[in-house]
Amino acid sequence: MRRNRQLEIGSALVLAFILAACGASARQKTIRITYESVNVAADSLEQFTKIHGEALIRDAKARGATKEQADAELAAFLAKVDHAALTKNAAYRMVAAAAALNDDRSLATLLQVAAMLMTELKELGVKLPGVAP
Amino acid sequence: MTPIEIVALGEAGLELAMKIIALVQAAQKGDVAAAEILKSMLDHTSSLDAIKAGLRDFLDKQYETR
Repeated sequence: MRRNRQLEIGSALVLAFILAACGASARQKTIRITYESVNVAADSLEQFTKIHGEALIRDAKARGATKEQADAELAAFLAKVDHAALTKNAAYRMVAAAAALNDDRSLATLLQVAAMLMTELKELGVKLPGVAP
Repeated sequence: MTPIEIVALGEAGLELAMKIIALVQAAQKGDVAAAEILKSMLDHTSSLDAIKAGLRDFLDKQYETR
């Protein structure tokens, strides 16, 4: 995992949007920055899932919830994580598509999907470097 | 077209060979990028699956009857 990277996703995406409007080599930079942002978002989702999942289980146990109740709570939480993971994979696929193609549409779609991913992670409670809570 | 046939074309063959090399290099470059992206996606998917499995184990241990 690449947790030690100090890339700030919010700033990186803003930079990506700016570069998207600046020609062919800027296109490659935009794709690269967005790709790195998706990698950091994926790392953040993993970290969040582990920390929040363990806290959820400890909390369920501490307040006397049965194993079945704790199972159900964990399953509900992991379903939300899975949804975010699907969006994350969609973002990866769009990075690959934008890298393979050379049209404005693929780049615009990539930035839209990346923005959707950041919004979804923020709503889930994932702390993203460089993005205000 | 074999390499011998390309050489037999003389200067045109050299030009063709250069174009083939450029195409191969471009294809290799594209493949590396696609492979890198795919690898990242699969690595993160595996990592998240492992974390989810770890959480289920953690839950089982928390509720283990001693």
